[in-house]
Amino acid sequence: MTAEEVATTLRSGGPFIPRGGGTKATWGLPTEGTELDLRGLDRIVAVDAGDMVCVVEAGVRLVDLQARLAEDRLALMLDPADGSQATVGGVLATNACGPLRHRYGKPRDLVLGAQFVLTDGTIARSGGRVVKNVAGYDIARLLCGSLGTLAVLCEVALRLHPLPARRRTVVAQATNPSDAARAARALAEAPLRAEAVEVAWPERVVWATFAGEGVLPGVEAEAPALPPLCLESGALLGFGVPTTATAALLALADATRTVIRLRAGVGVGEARTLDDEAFAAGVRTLGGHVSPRRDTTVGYERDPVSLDLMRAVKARLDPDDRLSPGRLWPVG
Amino acid sequence: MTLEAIVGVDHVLTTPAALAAYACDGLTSHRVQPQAVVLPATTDEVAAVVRWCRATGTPWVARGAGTGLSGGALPVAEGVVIGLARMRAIVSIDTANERITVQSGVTNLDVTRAVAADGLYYPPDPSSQQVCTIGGNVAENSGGAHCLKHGFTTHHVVAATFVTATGEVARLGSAVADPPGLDLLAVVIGSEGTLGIVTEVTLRLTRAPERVETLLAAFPSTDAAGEAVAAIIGAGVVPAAIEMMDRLTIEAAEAAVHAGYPTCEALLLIEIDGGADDVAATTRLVTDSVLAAGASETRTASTAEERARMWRGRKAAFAAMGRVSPDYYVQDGVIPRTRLAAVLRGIRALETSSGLRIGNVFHAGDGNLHPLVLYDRAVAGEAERASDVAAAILDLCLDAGGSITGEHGVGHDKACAMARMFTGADLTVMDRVRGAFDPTGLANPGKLLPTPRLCGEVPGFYRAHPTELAGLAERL
Ligand SMILES: Cc1cc2nc3c(=O)[nH]c(=O)nc-3n(C[C@H](O)[C@H](O)[C@H](O)COP(=O)(O)OP(=O)(O)OC[C@H]3O[C@@H](n4cnc5c(N)ncnc54)[C@H](O)[C@@H]3O)c2cc1C
Repeated sequence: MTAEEVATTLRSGGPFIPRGGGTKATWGLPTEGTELDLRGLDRIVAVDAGDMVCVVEAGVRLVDLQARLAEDRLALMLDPADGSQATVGGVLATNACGPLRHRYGKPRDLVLGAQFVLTDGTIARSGGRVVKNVAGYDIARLLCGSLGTLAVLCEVALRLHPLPARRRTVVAQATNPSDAARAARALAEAPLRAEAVEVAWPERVVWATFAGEGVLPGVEAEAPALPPLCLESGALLGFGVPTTATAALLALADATRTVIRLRAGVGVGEARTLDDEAFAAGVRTLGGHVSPRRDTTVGYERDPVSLDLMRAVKARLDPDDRLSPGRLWPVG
Repeated sequence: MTLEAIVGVDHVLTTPAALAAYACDGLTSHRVQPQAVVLPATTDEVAAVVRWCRATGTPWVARGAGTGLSGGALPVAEGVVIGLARMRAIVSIDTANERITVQSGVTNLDVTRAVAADGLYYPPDPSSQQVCTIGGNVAENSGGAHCLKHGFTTHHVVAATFVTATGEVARLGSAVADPPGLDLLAVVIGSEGTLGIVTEVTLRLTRAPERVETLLAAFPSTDAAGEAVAAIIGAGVVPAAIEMMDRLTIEAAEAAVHAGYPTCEALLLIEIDGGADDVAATTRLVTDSVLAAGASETRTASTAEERARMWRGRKAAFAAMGRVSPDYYVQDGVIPRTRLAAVLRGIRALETSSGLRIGNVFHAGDGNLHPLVLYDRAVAGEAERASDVAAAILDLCLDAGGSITGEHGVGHDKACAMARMFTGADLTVMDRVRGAFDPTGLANPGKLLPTPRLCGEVPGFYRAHPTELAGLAERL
């Protein structure tokens, strides 16, 4: 598969829904169209170990890329849940992240450039393949998290990090929400900066991983084996909350029968809930926001002027609304 | 409504003397006098000024402190400059959530000053940080020595109050992470005032590290210093900063501020920050790497005072060039870090062939070169030769797989060079994004993208006609 083939398909009609591994196909509002399977874009184009940059096609599976990078003792510091089928393009398009978000940021923070295709068949690039670059608009970052609504990512350049020689994990069992919040904050503020600081609720587990030399707070332990969220029933939501709201969020989880994976140092995470309306309302009361991911009727809330700008950007790049229509706002 | 009615008579400048002061930014070789300079004090005033511009068809150029080095704030002759220097309030500080909200005219250093007592700081640290504004930093996606480990402006801005090119006020992003919808801030950061005006910015703050260690390493050649950088990065270490200076810039900086640098062909300043044990271990590793690469001498600074002295020469280097040469052009290009030694040799060759001296002082850790091309505009032809040499340096960067700018931006200076890095199709897509934000075409026209008047036609670069942008006509 090539970018030219993607362009030919896009010109042929639609609407289309770009698809990678399909693990996050339900994120956003409901959309309809023909699936455009990008797993044929499966080449690892270049790994520049000395410069710690790689260039890969969007359909490469994240696990395959990580295996290749590990040969050079490098890693792409992204670890979204249910990773085995996830493709690099899908992870970028959803800005999906896991525990490593704490230290390394999300996909938009690690992308250096992209080649992408618009619905009119235009094949274009933005950014580059060096770690620092301000030439032109940073469209590659704009495409991150755009849920396949603006363009089809074909090839991306990514910043890599050294794979730590040694990783240590600290695990604490909390008895109540404020306990958990205190433990998480202590771990996030340890002098040796953590790579990840997570709270799993209702398991009441607070854990953190550290790379590098130094004394760790608390006890070292094995990383806990927590069931992935996606196996359980209920609505799936992404959320963001102030980092000072951890205790209140966990109490809200108890009150709404919600399972939570929280990046406590960043204030983001995933929730599987049996009462999505109440959970969403509670998060908003805490000054946060939610994003629909699966089996939910919860929608988006946004500032009206910035929504107009988002619509204008979409209208310029995909004038006929042929890419994932309705995913970011209702059609019409 | 007149401009005076919006901001007050004292804040609309029209005298030739006042306008002359705004005729250029840090790229002083280009000067244009605008019709007026308007100095609003609030977001609502900025929005009203932009609406006035729209109603009268007047182009406008936003301006912070005017330290930009690519002519981004160069005025348009028939337009106005919207200066944001009066917007200097710190709006709010939330230390528990590590956030600060400031108006866009607040200087970079004042952000860190406002939160230092709470053990927090704002990592991006352009050398101009005492004067450049946060609004300018956002517009340029500015970097600094410590961005190697901690990221650039784009990694630290979480929200902004944004006056659109049509004069409306939007709230982009959110103080709380991961707001739903498109990440418009991703393109607004680095957009050089061509998409709208940022009036308030919410920044993510970082906890000050437990320990900071600064290492100075002297080398017998720039080649050896370049190899040392590659060796450090290759060893899996990400220091907070790796800066390089060559002999010419070391001597100029020494003469200016007496930093106590050793006499050598090249030096590296390497800073390592983090937890105390980790810093100690990493410093050992880095010291081994630089010695293996041929460093003739290493020194370390552990106290804040020693550190400040070590950095003093680096921070003063650009200004110190004024002692060595009447004029100099600061180039800004990026290369893969593995190519440092080779590209520095290429620059040396240009020095020999052109007869112009070139100093190098730059962010080596992220491959961001700043060759300083020295010339004397009083000598016939030297300015032109300097500009040819600077262009040839960009070719070296592009040939190595790099970029035409790492932090100073495209602005006016490199609008034509964009066509050397990007295809017509790439530029057309950028222009479509621009049109989405600025259907009026009045926001900093002539910057960032090549214009036919200055650059000639770029093959395949299809620009929407203003009537199309306004939605009045469609090409069929
Ligand atoms: C000695 C010296 C050292 C420097 N060192 C560095 C360095 O280490 N790293 C680095 O990255 N840069 C450096 N620079 C360049 C410059 O300081 C930065 O680009 C800085 O961010 C510009 O800020 P400013 O407030 O001066 O912006 P200005 O020069 O006034 O404007 C720059 C651009 O931003 C736009 N703009 C300004 N304010 C706003 C706003 N509020 N909203 C929208 N657009 C706006 C303008 O239209 C223009 O396009 C240096 C410059 C000098 C003179």
